[in-house]
Amino acid sequence: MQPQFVTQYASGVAPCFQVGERVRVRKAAPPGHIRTPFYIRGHAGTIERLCGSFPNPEELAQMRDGLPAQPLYRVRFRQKDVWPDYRGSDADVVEIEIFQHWLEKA
Amino acid sequence: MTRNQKDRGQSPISDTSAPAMGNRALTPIFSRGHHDMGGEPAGRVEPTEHDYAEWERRVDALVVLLTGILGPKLMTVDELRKNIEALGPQVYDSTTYYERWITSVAQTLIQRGIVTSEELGRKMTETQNRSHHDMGGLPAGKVEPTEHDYADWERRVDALAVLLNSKVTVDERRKHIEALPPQAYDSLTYYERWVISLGQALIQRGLLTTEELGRKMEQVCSRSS
Amino acid sequence: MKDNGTYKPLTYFQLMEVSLRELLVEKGVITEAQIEEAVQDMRRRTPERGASVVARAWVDPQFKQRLLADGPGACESLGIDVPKLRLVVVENTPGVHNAIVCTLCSCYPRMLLGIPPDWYKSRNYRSRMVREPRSVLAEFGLNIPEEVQIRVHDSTADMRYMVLPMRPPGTEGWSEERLASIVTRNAMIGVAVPAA
Repeated sequence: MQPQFVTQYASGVAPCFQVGERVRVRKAAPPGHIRTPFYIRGHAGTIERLCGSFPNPEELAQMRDGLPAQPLYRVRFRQKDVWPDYRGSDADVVEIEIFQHWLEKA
Repeated sequence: MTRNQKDRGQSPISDTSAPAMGNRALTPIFSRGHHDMGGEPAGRVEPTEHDYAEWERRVDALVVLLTGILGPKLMTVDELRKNIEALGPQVYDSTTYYERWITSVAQTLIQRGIVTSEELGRKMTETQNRSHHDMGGLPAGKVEPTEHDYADWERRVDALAVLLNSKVTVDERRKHIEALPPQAYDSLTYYERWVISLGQALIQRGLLTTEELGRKMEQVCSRSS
Repeated sequence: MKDNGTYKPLTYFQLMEVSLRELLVEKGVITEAQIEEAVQDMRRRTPERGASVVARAWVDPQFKQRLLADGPGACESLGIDVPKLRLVVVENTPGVHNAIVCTLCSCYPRMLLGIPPDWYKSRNYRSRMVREPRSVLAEFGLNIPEEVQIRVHDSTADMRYMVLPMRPPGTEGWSEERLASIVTRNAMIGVAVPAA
């Protein structure tokens, strides 16, 4: 799968998800600097695209280099799956950039 | 809450916006950052904008420089975000956007060892104590390009200062102006400040006494009424 | 003539800004000139730059394809510099309306559009836009029909997003400049649509 942005880092983890694949966001809540929003944890969505591989912001925040670079995906979720009381079209979605280490196969 | 409930890590807070997390150990109070607000109930979006103040633009510029977009990369935006997140809910909610960012820039620079707490503390004290007239580099408003045609009395004050230059130096005059309290400095006009400082300087030099000046002012007052 | 620089002591944060800047300059980490240049640089980055990209995409289908595939490259090809910006452009269609938010902080394509407005960074926008986008859009005066899909993009990581709005009817034959003049910043965030 072609990444949207090609990046060069000293080391990187291989992407393991495909466009269209169903994935679930891990239900973890560790302390530290996290870029996976709380509201999406535990939910399942679909891989919309591979953005590229980037250093892990959780590690960059701690003044480390964040390598190996992690694949970053845009994941699409149906709003009615995320919010029990969602009022709007059934087709409405929210798309979020999520790092591979936060995702598992759904 | 019973001891048993506490042991099982059940949160007393029901967070309807979070996905069902199960019973164990996912207490939103700790595990959800105050900044991580997606999905939380909130009020109407007020489409406010403000023309950013110069000091705010300088904070923005500092971030752009220090994170390597237009300058040397000395820190990452991730560290800056982390330090904003670490401010805690009270500070987060009671400060403005750029107030949070400048605080985080300071924390991150300290964490990186580029400045020390002591250096910054000393510099902040020095800046604060800097005399009110010494305003170079401090935040202020728009420059209004005003002019006015000087009144006769103002021209006379100017002339007096020139004539007395051998008796009262410009540095003494400046010293007296600088000694004015800030409220006075800002609420008097330029020549009002000059005439007061001339008076003070002449008294200090012993060329006039306070009493003489006071009596003369009374005289002039009763003459003109 | 009173000097209306009304006396207000520096706030703690303004004090910090002045002090940090002076310290960094004293230490040779940065120069005053660099700060000044960076302030002016950001002032030059305005929504008009994004508007000209949108207008070009409206008149040139090949450019539009490039913009959707390679946002930064497309901007640079118009002479619009976007240093370090990983721009992803999302297209509004008759069936899809896009809107951008950063729930975690204030991520925004600054290097293209400049500094974001206050409301974009506000608690209310950041909290509600992912959960009830239709209500929030209605507050902005934008009512999206039920049959149109709303895609909310939460920019949580390294990408920055811009909405490519639909070209409104009644603009046939307009020059690019005239087209750009109706593309507002709010339309590129997705809380408004351009009107002829």
